[in-house]
Amino acid sequence: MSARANSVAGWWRRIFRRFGSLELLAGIALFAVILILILFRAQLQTHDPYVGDLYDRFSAMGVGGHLLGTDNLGRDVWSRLLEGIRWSISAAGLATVIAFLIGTVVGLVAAQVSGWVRTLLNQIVDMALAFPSLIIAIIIVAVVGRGFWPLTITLGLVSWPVFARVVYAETLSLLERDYVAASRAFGARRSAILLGHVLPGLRPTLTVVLAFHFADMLVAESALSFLGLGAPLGVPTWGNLLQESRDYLMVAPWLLIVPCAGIIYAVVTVNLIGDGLSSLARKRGLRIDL
Amino acid sequence: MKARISAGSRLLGNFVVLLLGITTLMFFALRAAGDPIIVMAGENAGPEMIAALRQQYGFDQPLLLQYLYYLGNVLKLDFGASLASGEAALPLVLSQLPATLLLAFLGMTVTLVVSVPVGAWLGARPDRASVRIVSAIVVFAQGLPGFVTALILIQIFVVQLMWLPSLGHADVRTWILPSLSLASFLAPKLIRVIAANVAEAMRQEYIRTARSIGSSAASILWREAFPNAILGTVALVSAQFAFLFAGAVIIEVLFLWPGIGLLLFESAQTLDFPVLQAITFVVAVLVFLVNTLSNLVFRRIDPRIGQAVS
Amino acid sequence: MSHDTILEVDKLSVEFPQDLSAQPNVVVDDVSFAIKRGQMLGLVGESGSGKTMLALSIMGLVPGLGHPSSGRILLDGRNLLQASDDQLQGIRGGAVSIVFQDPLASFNPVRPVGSLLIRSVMLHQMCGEKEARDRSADMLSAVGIPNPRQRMDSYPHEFSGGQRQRIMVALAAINNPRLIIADEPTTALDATVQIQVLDLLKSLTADCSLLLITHDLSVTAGVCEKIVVMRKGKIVESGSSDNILNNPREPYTRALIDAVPRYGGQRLLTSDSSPAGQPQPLLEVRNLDVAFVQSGRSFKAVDDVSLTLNRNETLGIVGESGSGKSTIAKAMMQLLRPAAGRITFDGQNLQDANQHELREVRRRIQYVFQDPYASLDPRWTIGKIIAEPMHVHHAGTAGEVLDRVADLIEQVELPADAIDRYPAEFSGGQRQRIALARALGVGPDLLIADEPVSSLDVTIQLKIARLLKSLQKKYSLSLLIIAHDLPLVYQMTDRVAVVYLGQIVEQGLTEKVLRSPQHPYTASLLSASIPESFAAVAAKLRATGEPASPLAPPGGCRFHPRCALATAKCAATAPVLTRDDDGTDVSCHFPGKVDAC
Repeated sequence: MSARANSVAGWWRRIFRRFGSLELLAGIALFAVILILILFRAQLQTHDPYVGDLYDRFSAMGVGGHLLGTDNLGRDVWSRLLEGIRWSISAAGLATVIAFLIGTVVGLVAAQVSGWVRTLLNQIVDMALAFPSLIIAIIIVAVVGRGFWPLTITLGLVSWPVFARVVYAETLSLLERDYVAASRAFGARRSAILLGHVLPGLRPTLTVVLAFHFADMLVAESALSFLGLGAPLGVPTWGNLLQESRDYLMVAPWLLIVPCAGIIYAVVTVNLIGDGLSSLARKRGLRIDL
Repeated sequence: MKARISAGSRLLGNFVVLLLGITTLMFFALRAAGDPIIVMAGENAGPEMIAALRQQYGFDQPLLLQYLYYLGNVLKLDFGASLASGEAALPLVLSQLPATLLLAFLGMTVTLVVSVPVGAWLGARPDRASVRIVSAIVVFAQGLPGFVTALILIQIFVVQLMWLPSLGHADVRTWILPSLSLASFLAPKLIRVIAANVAEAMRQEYIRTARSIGSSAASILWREAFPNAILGTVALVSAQFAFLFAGAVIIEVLFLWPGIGLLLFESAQTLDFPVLQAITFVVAVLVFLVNTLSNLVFRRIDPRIGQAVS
Repeated sequence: MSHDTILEVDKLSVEFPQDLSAQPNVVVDDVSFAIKRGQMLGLVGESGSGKTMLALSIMGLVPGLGHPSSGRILLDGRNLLQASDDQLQGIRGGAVSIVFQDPLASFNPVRPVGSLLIRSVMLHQMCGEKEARDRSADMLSAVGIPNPRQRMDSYPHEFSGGQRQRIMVALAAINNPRLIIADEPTTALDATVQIQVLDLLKSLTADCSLLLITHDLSVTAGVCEKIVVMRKGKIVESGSSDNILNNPREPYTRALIDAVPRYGGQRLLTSDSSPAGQPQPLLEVRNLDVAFVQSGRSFKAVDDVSLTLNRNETLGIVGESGSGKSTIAKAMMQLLRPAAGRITFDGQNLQDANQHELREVRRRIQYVFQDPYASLDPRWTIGKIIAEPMHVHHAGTAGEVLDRVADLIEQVELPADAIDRYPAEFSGGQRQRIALARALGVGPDLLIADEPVSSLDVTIQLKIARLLKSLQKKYSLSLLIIAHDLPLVYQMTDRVAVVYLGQIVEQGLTEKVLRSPQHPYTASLLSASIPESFAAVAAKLRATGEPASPLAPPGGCRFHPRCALATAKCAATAPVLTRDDDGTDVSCHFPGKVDAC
């Protein structure tokens, strides 16, 4: 094998080892595309997403300078799509962060207290997980109204138990490790143990859960928008676009296909990242625990 | 026996906590930011009309009083009447429940029929090439939000091909798409869970023991690995139920299937508090029943539970 | 190939592929040996020697992507490596069977133990289920499981470790195989139970051959006629067990033999262990009780234990699993709260100590854990790990701490660049060194080592033990060693206490207690660990059955159900720890009887 081929193989191998699996690499690369679309939204849009040319209604994809066609009001679908992505990603992202913060705190606390406090917290989390949160989300958003913050906060408030459960279980298991007992044995303070041993130990699991949760939030946002309970009427998120397309299924199927493809792309990408992180954690875990 | 009684009372306690918690939450949340009277009265109603309505429905009392009054009614299973139609709330909800149960049953059946064999096959030999391809398909399928799949199915079968009707639930033909859609909601996740559990079971050392006495591969998968995998899956049933219900709501709205999901959606738009509260109550009861049942089943089939650890 | 050779392994190599064009990992390298009919062969090696993979490849059970890459395995002349899957299935459990190491993990927890037996019989003896049940019950009875017909339907967790292993042996023997492979069959068991299982294996292999795989040469001593020594996939030496044990040719074999601690010979004592004058007590434990709650019932894991550890002295606590020895240590460290009793360290009563004093105690007593893979945080660098206690106790500036860490790394004989590396890159023995370095950083007076070497390979054990002793000398430490390995304890300690079911049954000078034990339990522990020295008396004193559960200890003398010398008095009243003329404390009604044997 030539020296050059060797170095390529070696370079490839190093990347592989860093990412642990093809899935993670692919997922991150695909997600980067989304980020680029968001960042360069202004440059990439070909038309004004909110104003349409009524003479251009229902153009098929690729016709007349419209990459993805136009809708019932002559608005360019491609530009609308780009406009909505930012909204969806940030809503889902923020909801994840809110859920993460609340859930992690609850989980950490529950793992360290004992007695009735722990039992109570556990019961709350169990019940919250068992009850379909979508109902609560629907009701709250119906009541409060559509909008970015109502949706984001509601989703965050409704989904934190997922994090609480995971953090609770992991923390309990980490606190029983020998190296934590060793730290206690030579007198380390509880806060030092938490910061130094527990939180870093939570990191691999948390990253995986964060990824999957983000994907779930994306789906939840588009579902709620589709039902008319999420993004405000004008914003062209995937869910809203789907909702709008319902009346024109016969005439303009691309109005359905484009947002479908958008959602699928985003969710599959994030799921890939989650899968990749999870197999990475598993591989690393195997090597560590031998 | 003593243990059973205490476990049973604990479960009941959980249920009461859940019920109280959820209904209280609903009660206050609903009143917090929305005012159904405005919605009901319409746009042109004058202030006297609004005040009259308010008094009629008891919304002019102080909040705490309303709550206590409400709590008392809940214990009598009286949720009031729908603000929209005037029908008694709880019976209304219960009348629409069977449709949802039917949908859930159909969807779950299709899901199981597909997920169990596929999941077991995927988990048995995770490194085979054919398995990797199918795995990739499943990963992709999981990315499909249920309602997206439903919309696509509608597009294909109803709009383009005009094979199946799309609305209502009168005729068996109308059952096909909704159940398939619901199944597409649940199946990918269940497949992955089963595959993961089966793969985990196959990694255990007792599989090696079974191989060492000459058992065939099929016998090992079904006799040794699968029982363990099922245990792990059953434990997740309660989480599955929440997911199932979310899916049912969306499917019902899409197909105008007259179940409580559709009712929920419509009531949310009109801020029909009594009905919303009744739905919450019914769902809480269902959650409790499903959890209890799965717990019981779990205890029966896992021989390790209930034994003192030696 | 002669008529009476059952199994011949001919130039066998087994390898595991690795990712992306790296060289495959060769775990068995060009190995050849043969087993005759009825012969018992011992395959000895440390971890990584390839012995387990070799055994698994005979049965075609190599896990994952590993596979035999060259050579032949001939069973009665037939090459197993060319057999079809069906043929292999017919052989597994039939002509060749295997007993695995970990009886708990090897059984399916949700299936009754009888199911495997019945299945095996039906597969290989072509009979119906009822017949299979009968034969299984007979076999269970032959291996010593009472009430076999009912117990067949019980689940694995309802049996003890020793019983599970017996059931595994039954599973292996039930179809009258030509060859039984036993992969570390006794490693996971208590010493007194190990002996019983080995005896069982010996008795069952009357007409078949046995391939015994182990890391412990002493196990092969009483059992095997021929021994093969492996290292890193290759055969180092092979021959009759007489030759190997008494006249080893290869240096590695010699090292293996030397690594097994022996009685007699040089003991690793500290030279100033008995200074002129009185021993000064450093740690005193009086009437210690530690209770646990399990399934609603509370029981005493430690019952009225009193110990004294003197300065610069090494005290050993020995017992089997469940004896409470680790619990005693944890209570000393205040990691567990005692239910009753007093622990005094350097004159200070630990129960009454305030926060500040307790902190100081936590600096002066350090603890080394058993499992070197679990006691170090895998996400921390070695430098950080060793420095952690020093940071907790504010023992100096950042620079001083760094210097001290580097110095300690050198003291424990690790390479200097270890300071920035992670635990995953180090072996078990090296990790234990790191744990030692960590313990020494804050200048303790007392070091408690809980099974410090039991999870390590034999040749490493000796090195770590030597290191421990030299560190003790250098830093004037007092040492408390908790172990189940008697010869090791003999080597390393000045005084020893023997614990059974939470009580001390005998304690005193190591020289006296382990050379001429007064309590039957001590004697049976000794006979289990050095069979050849005790062969004559072993049979008479051997403990029967298994250690009872601490939840329900037997009445009277706790050892009486298993004691070969027990009388009615032993069942009725509990003996009291009394000092005899030698200065040894014994808790037995008939302390002199052991000598008489």
